[in-house]
Amino acid sequence: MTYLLAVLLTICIWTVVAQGLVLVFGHGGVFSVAQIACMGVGGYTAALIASGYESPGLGFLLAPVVAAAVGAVIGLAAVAGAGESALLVTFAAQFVFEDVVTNLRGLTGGANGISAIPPLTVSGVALLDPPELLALTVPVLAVVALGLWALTSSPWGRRLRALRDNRHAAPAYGVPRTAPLVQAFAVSAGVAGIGGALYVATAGFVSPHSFGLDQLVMVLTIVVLGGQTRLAGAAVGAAIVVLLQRLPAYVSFGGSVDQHLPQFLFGLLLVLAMLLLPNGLLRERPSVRIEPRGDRTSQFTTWLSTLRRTP
Amino acid sequence: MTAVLSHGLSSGALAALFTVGIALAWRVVGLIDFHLPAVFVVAGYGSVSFQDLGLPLLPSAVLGVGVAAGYAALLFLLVHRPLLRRGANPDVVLIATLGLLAMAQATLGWVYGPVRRYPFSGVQATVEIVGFRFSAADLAAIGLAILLIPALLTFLRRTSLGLSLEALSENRQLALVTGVNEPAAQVLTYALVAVFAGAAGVVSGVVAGVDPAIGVGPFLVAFGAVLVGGHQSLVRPVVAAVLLQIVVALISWQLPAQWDRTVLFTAIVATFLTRRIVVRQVQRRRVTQLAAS
Repeated sequence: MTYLLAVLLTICIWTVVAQGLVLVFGHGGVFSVAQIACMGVGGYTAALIASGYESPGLGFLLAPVVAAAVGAVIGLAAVAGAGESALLVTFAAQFVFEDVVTNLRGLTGGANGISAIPPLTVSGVALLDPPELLALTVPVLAVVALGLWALTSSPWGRRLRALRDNRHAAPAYGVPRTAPLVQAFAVSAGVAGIGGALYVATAGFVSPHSFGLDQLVMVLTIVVLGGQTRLAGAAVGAAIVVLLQRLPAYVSFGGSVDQHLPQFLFGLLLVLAMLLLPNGLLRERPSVRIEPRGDRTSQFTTWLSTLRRTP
Repeated sequence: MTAVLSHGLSSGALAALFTVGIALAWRVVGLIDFHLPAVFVVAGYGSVSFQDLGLPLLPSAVLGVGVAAGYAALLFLLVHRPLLRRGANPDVVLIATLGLLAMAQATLGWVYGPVRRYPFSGVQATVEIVGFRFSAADLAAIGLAILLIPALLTFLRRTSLGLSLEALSENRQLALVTGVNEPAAQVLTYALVAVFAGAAGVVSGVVAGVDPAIGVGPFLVAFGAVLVGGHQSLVRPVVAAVLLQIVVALISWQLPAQWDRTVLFTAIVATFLTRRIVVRQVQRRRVTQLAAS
């Protein structure tokens, strides 16, 4: 039972991180690979404050704030370059994050990371076991999902999708060219920071290997498989991917194969999903129903006109 | 100082080889292929395997590049081409290539293990040219760049096959109307891309060794150079790659070696953003002048 709860806990944490990516990638149309770096920033913030100041609660609260600030800076650079440069900027962010946490040994513990992090406590009860951690993680996941749903359903979310669908036409209809995307980066990074703090609370340690390229492939698989625009898709994708990650525990092929099997399967899933299900398991639902008259351009301009701010 | 410059020059030559591969794939086939780091590594491991079989240095290297070219062309036909035929958007192709990279890294890690392999580890000779000291690997990188890049440019501009690739990159519809066989041209492009990525992989293997994940860093450096130089040209990204590596070598000279990657990526992003801002300012000024006239 405890094992099942631990699996459920892992699914919840990866759902949180993937939902942040859904906002930037699915709704903003910017392919960001900095999500794991932002998760790492949150995780290290939580770990450093918990270890250095013996205050895990403060670390948990500050993790999304610091991650969001870092995400806003990454977003500014990514959006300023536009197009394929977002890929370069976000990848650079991932590498710089890895170098910083590995090289600043005095602060982050270097490649060994930080261990024996004090656990979170609620009303004097330390959250150590999966049932107690789930009691914290499930409400956090619910709040994150509701918050992101409210954001994506709001006029702000429609502006974000307008930029995704036509980055040149949307500004002509009064949609700011960069602000919604930078804000989306900040929110997405903040959500990843929450995921990082939850990871640290669960694992009790943190190291550069916790937030590397393997985890990046994992979160991309979750989002692509579940559906790039659907928050519920992140939960479906996370469930499939986490169960696949645990496959070697049930079906063993030997040491070396077991070690590389999850990464191979994630890669295979990414390729198959793109070949067979490019929109993922859950497809995007149109937020505004447009009457089928006129050509596609006039339909798009009709939809864009709903985004105009009333004077 | 001369050691720093010769290191910058050889790293620049290595990055230039990879840059040409990325720019060629982007120009002719129209995709950014994140699977190219695997092609880079496959060439390195290929040369290691042929060396293990007892082949001498040069045939092992050539066969390693050949294996990488065959591997890249096969995967292009199995994955890239079906996606391109159905008009998949660039993000879809990009994610598929990331998946291929993950699969390749896992497979190579399983076959060869996590330990870094060093092909041609016996090659330690150094040569001094005009006060600059170069290792054999440095000279191989510079020599290959000097040999292969002009050869490719000549092929693209002087042969009918090369001109058909250029035609596809300039105007795809017109090229198809004039009878260019697109699938064949794309497979040929991929084989050429793999030759450049593979050559970079083999030479890089001599310097830094080969492990499944080693191709990602050089790929991103080369990709950055393509963004800085622009993918419409093959020459400008090459110049960007060489200059970036020399500047980074000069900056890194004063810093501990473990910060090299941070300096490199910060320099690439800063150069790219500065270029983008300057280009935008120039465009705005032109529009204002046109409006005024």
